[in-house]
Amino acid sequence: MATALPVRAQVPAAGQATKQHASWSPYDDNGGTVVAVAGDDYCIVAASTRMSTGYSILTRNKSKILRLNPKCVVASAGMQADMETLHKMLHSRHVTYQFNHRRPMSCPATAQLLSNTLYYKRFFPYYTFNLCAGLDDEGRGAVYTYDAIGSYERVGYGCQGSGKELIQPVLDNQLKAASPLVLPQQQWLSSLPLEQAVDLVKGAFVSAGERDIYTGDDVEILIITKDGIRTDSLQLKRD
Amino acid sequence: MEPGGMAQHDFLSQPVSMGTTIMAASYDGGVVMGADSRTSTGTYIANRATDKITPLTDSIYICRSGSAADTQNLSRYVQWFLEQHGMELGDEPEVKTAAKLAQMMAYQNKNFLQAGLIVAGWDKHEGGSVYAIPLGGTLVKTPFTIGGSGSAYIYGLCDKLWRPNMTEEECRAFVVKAVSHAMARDGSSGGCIRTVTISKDGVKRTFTPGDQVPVAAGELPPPQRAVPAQV
Repeated sequence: MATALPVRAQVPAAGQATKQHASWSPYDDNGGTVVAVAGDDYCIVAASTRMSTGYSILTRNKSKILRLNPKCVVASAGMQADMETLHKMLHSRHVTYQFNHRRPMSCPATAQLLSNTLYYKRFFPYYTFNLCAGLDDEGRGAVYTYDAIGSYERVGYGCQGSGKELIQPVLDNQLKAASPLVLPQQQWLSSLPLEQAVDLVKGAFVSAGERDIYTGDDVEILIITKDGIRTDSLQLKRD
Repeated sequence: MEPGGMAQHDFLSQPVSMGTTIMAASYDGGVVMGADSRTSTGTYIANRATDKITPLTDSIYICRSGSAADTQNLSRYVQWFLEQHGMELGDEPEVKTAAKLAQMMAYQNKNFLQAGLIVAGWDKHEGGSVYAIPLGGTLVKTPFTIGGSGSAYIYGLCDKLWRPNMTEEECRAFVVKAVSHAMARDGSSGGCIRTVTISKDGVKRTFTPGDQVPVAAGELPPPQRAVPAQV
């Protein structure tokens, strides 16, 4: 935990056994995995709800998803304290945007705002690994993936967090969708029907839950279409 | 995440970085820019089909290596300055102006940024130009230049193969060959090869998928495609 007792760090000293000195870190990783898949007219966003520290579970029921508006959400894995502050910042900017523009922010606009917000703290970053997802201005699914300091790009599907190495190859293999950057342009939005895509995401989380200790308990699933946001959930093993 | 504390900001010591191969070469009538497509965070490949060649104006592009976030933001600032400058000038900005702007940002913030850049393009005053901006913020105009972690492996190859006044096709073949050799030896470079050709006739983009990248000596041939490529 960020407020735990200082850690003893080992530093090798010249010609002797390692020296010890205390060190404190402002960061902690609370684990968890987030996934998003974009389709022709839908977007699926899912996040595990377990919050951990070290080998302990803090809670089985923490949401990682910020719903900005019916067309755009932000899902963040990593340090939950930084995630909560980041989500508050984005929500506040969104309220101001609606005040000034008399309409909600579009998903691409939110994507850029998130990048700018993260890069603003380039030298003391938010320890969050984000996905911004929803429907673009033409009603097609949109997923944007980020690093901790705000570099981002649009993709057809993505995952972040402790289980990302377990889930990403499964999506690469099963969605059979190219990157939007491949030339000549190929189909990169998933052409899977919505229900099959939801089943794929659920299956991926179950598998990740088997092999990643930080992914478990429950999965919060959002299905974003032109008719709004529908929620689903998946129970995972609690071990 | 280990009990009792975590490695000191390990995610900071491994930001998303474009361990990369980038290059640009001028030919008789323009420039060809090339890059691999791998973006890595430590050992994880965050993106296997990245586009590292970013437009600054219609006829000036920039190859980005180093920290993805730093170079994305720096490129956006330079795009913005160039757009305003073009309005005031009443004409297309010159490649040397774009290069100078990028260099000023890189040099003045050298303690904070990790950005190795190549600015190249075509303007009516100088024709095709290539400018290298390595890590400290030097600006140097060259006939061709290479950058990124993979470039270390192809200095000899490029010195041997490059000649002045090549044709557009010869220049593009040179770039693809050099990048493919770098990808063969550098673990941080891989995926596909992108090229951007800029001349007075405009901009042409090509893309070589991973399984069509030329195979270097001792390399295994690529596996069969699982999904046939569709146009």
